Order: sequence, then structure tokens, then C-alpha cells
Amino acid sequence: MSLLGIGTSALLTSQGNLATISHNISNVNTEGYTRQRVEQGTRTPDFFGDQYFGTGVQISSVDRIYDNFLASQVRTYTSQEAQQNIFMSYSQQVDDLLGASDLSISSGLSEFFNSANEVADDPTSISARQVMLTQGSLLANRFNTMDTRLIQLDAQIDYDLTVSVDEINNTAVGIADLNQAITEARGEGAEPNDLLDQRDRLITELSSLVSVTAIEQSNGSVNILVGNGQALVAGISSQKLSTITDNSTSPPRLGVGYGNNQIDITAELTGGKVGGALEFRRNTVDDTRAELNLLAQSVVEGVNAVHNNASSIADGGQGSVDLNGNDGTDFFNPANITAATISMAISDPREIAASSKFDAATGTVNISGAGNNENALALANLEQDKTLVQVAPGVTRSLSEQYGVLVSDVATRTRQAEVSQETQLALLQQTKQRFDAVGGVNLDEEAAQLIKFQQSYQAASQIIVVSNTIFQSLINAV
Amino acid sequence: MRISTSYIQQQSVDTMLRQQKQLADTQLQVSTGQRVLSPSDDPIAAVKVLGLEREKNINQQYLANADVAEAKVSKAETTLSSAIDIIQRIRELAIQGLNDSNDASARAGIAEEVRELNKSLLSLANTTDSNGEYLFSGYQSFTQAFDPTTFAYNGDSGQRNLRVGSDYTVAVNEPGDDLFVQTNADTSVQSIFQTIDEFATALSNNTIGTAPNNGEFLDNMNTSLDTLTSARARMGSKMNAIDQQRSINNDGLTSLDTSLTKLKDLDYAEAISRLNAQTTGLQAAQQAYVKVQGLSLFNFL
Repeated sequence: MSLLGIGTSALLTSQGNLATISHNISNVNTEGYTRQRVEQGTRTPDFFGDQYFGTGVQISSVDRIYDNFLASQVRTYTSQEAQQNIFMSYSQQVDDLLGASDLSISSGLSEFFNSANEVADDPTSISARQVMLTQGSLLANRFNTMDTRLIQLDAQIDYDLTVSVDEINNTAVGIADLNQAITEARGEGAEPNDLLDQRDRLITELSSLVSVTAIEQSNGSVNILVGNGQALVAGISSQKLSTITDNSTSPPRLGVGYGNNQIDITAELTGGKVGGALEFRRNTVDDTRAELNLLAQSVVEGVNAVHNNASSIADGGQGSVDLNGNDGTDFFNPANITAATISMAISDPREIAASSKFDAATGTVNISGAGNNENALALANLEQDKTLVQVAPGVTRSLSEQYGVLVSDVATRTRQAEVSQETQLALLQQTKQRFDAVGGVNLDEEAAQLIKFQQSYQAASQIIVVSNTIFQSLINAV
Repeated sequence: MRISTSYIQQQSVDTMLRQQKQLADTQLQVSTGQRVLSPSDDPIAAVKVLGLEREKNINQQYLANADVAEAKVSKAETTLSSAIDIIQRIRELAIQGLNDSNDASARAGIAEEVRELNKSLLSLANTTDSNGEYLFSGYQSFTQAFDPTTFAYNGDSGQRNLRVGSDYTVAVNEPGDDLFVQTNADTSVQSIFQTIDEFATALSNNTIGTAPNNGEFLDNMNTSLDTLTSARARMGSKMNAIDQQRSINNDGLTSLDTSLTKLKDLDYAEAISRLNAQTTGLQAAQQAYVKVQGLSLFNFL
């Protein structure tokens, strides 16, 4: 039982507290930092005479104030919010693309059919025919441009995947390294709080890239599973993800492979930036391109069917014939039509088959007059034809209806993504607030603690002074 | 409940960012005057707008078609009017020529005038429009309708239809054989130019008095006048119909514009007051931020 010893223990304990408070204050703005608290207790008392005498104070541990449940919720919402956010920002691009009037297929169709009307008004006018040719190739061009833009988005997603896979790999390596440091530190018998914080921050960062499951091991390391249970981090080792080429689409695009064998886990990845980008690609890009292709096919087949309709009325034709008196041919290129490949088949305005060589009433051959506009009229009428787009057996739409469906699909999905991104963000912020309410640093609180331990430090110093005074009086007495 | 210092900071910043975003959206709405800036702002309205704009476009095209149709029909109508005037003059001359008081030389003079009038009549039947198309040769619009020497009809019976309304097409030409080829009193079928030419020849040879170059010629002219007058009346009623379709289309355009305005255009009064409310909200958030951030126990240490 020594006064000096007790005083020293008090000084050291106050110092430890002050150091921890300063650490808290200095890390107030550190991302992922959780506040630390010193747990202190009395030292083992001395049995002296027939009494126990206290021997002062000691620090039993330095703990971080941390809620495991809230931390895992924050990760979940981080992952979902990141997914919705990237989906939304991509979807908005398509939404703007479809809404832009200078690119819109809708006005392209209108202008094309208007030009067909002008040819019907004046079937012999070369300039009206030239306008129709131009409008036809402009319409094809709009399809091409729209498809190119969508392919560009796909390429952008490829780039995003490449960057994200790199980030995931780096983070996984970081987590594995921290696992090693943490297991070693725990071997020393104390919790390495700052390392734990760093690891938690990396896991949250990983969650914003892709949805992961973190499983804590008894030795303090954390295993990270991705996709369908593939281990990204197991103890102190990590597996690499890589980008692999998926040749099943045109043009080919990237997927995500796992491990050295690059097993394709693209379909299993959800959540985070990667999950959002993949979902956008699966839903919006693929669907929109498919719908555009259907529309392009319907335009080509519908227009060609009237334009090259050279057979006789008895055979269901109407004897389309051009300004040179030749049978009508294909207006658009009929081979393997997609939005990317749609193009004109004729280039001479005289080749537009505006006329019909059969008399509609009698079905007999009517000398093909240049002034005959029956076929041009039939072409112009396609605009209103509600059976031109075959969506499913028995379900048909007009060309403009099909485009309307396409626009509304994307618009609705975008709207949905906007709403659910807001919801996820609100959930994330609420959960973060609750998590921070437990573990975040409050400067006022730390200031109060600072005062408290400053006082206890000053008081402990007085113990030293007193013990010194006592000792001096003893010396003087001698 | 305790709140972390960084959260207070983050929350205030988040709030300001959100308000700024809303303010920027409203500002864009006000500066463009558009309620729907991209389809996702209001998917239903966006698709409706597409449909309405297409309708509008079609209506405008019908109006353009109507202009073309009206020009053609009106050209045909004036041409027919002139033709009627000429035939009436020929009929008057015929009555004069058939009158017994005329001698051979007087008839030769009348015949000369009839021939000239017949030439004018023929050139009317061979009228071309501004595109150089023959008005009365059916679909053979680049073929002269009537041969100037044989008076034979070279066109066909095609009628060009133009769409001037959603369910209305109008035939803008009448084939020349319907107008100028007829069955005469003696059941012969020939163009009136032929009939007139034969009459003029008879007149100049002073061989009138036997059918068909007697009173029957007047009957034939009457038949032709009937045909042409009723054709002209048809043209007139077509012009009326085109006018009616035009006003239907114009009415359609007006109501489409009204619907489009409702869907697309911004309610400025509402938007401006929203803008004001959002500006005030943002200012309040900024002031609150500065005030709250100044609070710290460290200020008193």
C-alpha cells in the first residue's frame, strides 16, 4: 500500500482516458470510426493487518461502442441504395434518350408517313419522292442512332464492371490483410478497435459495390461471401473476381468470373453498383433493344409488304409499280433486320412504287399510269394500321403504339427506380443515424469528458504532491 | 438519444442538397415552361403526349392534303366552267348556222368560228396543272388526254384519291372520257370534239340538214352541257366537303393543342409559388446550419 503507487495509477488511468478522448476528438470526421471508451476498475486490494486496503485504479480495457446488428443493417441498405442509385442514373439516360424529340422514333415515323402522304398527293413529283426517300433513311438512321446509344450504355456498364471488379479485389485483399492483423492483435489479449473499424468500413465499401455476406469467425477474422456463397475472403486469403467476355450477345459484353477458373457468376451477383448495373442491363438495355428491334422489323415488313406488293389482286397483291413502270421492290433492306441494321433498299426516287397497275374494282390489269397514287395511299395508311406490330399471337399494335409502350416501359421503370432510390436512401440515413447514435463521436460529450478527466488528473497529481510532502516530513524528522 | 457530431453536420448538408435539387428542378421547369422534362417525370402523360402529337401531326398532314386536293379540284372546276361557256357559244352558233336564212358563205364563216372554239375546248380538255400533269387523262397524267387531230381519248378511267380526313378520301380528278366522250343521239360513241368538228365540216360544206348535223347536233350539245354542268356541280360539292374536312381537322387541332397544353405546359402560378417556398426553405436550412454549427462546448473551454 503506497500512496505514490495509488497516485501513479490514478495519473496513468486519467492519462489513458484523456488519450482516448483525444483520439475520439481527432477522429470525429474519420469515415467508419466508432468512438472508444476506457473501462476502468479498482486494482486488487492489499490485505494488510486485518483489513483490505484499496490500491488505486487501473484500465481494464479500451472498448469501441459498436452495434453489430445496426452495422449489418447499414451494409444491407448501403448495398440496396447503391444498386437503385446506379440503376436510376442509367435508366434516366435511356429515359432522356427516348424523350429527346430530335432522336424520337415517334416523330421519325410521323415524318416518314407524312412524306408518303405527299407522294400520294403528287405521285409524279420527283421532289416529293426524294423527300420520302430521305425521310425513310432518316427514320432508319434514328433506329440506328437509338440502338448505338443503347450499345454505348452497355459499353459504359462494361467499363463500370471492370472498375468495380478491380475495387472489389483491392477491398478483398484489404479485408484479408486486416483479418491477419486482427487475429494477431487479439492474440495479445486486447481488441484492436481501430483495425476493426477499418475492416468494417471496407466491408461497407464492398457492400456498396456488390451485396456480400460477412460471417465472423471465433478467431476474430471475417469471411466474406459473394453471389451464391462464393468465398471472396476466407480468413487471411482472398479470391479474385475477373471480367469475362460474354459472346452470347451482339455486340459481346463483359460478365464477372470467380476465382482462377473464372466461373461465371454474373447472374448471381446482386446489390451494389455491380448488381444495379447488371440489373439495368438485363432489364432496360436488353428489353429496350428487343422492343426497338421488333419495331424496326414491323416497319420494314409493313412498308415492304405494300411496296413490293407486285402480285395480282387475285393473289392478294395490288400490283405495286414504280414511276418507271417496273414492279415495286423492297423499300427497306429486308435481310436480317434489327434497329442497328435497318437501312434503305432503294435510292432512286423513281423507284418508289406509288402506283398500282390493277384496277381495284375489277381486278383486271389497269395500265400503270404515272398519276396512279393507290400504292402511295396504301403506304400512308400504314401509319394507322393497328395490326402492323405482332407483339404476341393475337396481340397487335400500331407502330406508334409500340413506340409508346417502349417509352412508357422505360419511363415507369425509371420512375420506380427514382422512388425506391429515395426510399432506400431514407432507410440508409435512418439506420446510419441509429448506428451513429450508438457509436459516433459527439464533440460536446467528449468536451465534458475532457473536463472530467482533466480534473481527475489534477487531483491525482495532488496525491503525488501529498505523498512527497509526507515523505519530506519523515526525512526531516530523522 | 445522443447524436454524433458528424451526423448533425451530414444531416444538415443532406437536407440542403435535397432542397437544392428540388429548387433546380423547379427552376428548370420555370425556365423551359414545361411540366414534364423527361418521360419518367410523368410516364402516363408522356405517352399521352406522344399519341396526341402524332394525332396532331396526322391532322396537319390532312390539312396539307386538303390544300393540294382543293387546288386540283378548283382548277378542274374553273376549266369545266370555261368549257361550258365555250359549248354554249358553239350551241348558239349552231342554232344560227342551222337557220335557213344563212347562205353558204355565212355558214363557212360560222364554221370557222366553231372550229376555233373547238380548238379552245380541246386545249381546255388537255389542260395541265403546275406539275405538268394532264388534268383529264386519268392515271395517264403525262399523256395528253385527247389527240388534237384524231380527237381520240388517250387517258384511262383512273381517279386519284387524296386523304383529307381520317375516314374521308376525295377524288381530285375526273377522267376525260367521262366528261368529253358521250353517246350521241344516233347512239355513236365519240368525243364531242369529233362531233363538233364533223358539224363544222358540214357547215362549211353547207351539207347540214341531215342527222347528226341537223337539230340532233343541238341535242348532242345539250347532253354535253348536262354532263359538264353536273361534273362542275360535283367539283363544287367536293370543294365544300374538303372545306368541311378542313374545319373538322382544324377543330381537332385546337382540341389537341388544348390537351397537349394541359399535359405538357407548366402552371406558372403554382410553379412560381413553389419556387418561392423552396427558396425560403433552402435559406432557412442554410441559416439553421450556420447557427447549429457554431454551438460547441469547446467554445467555453
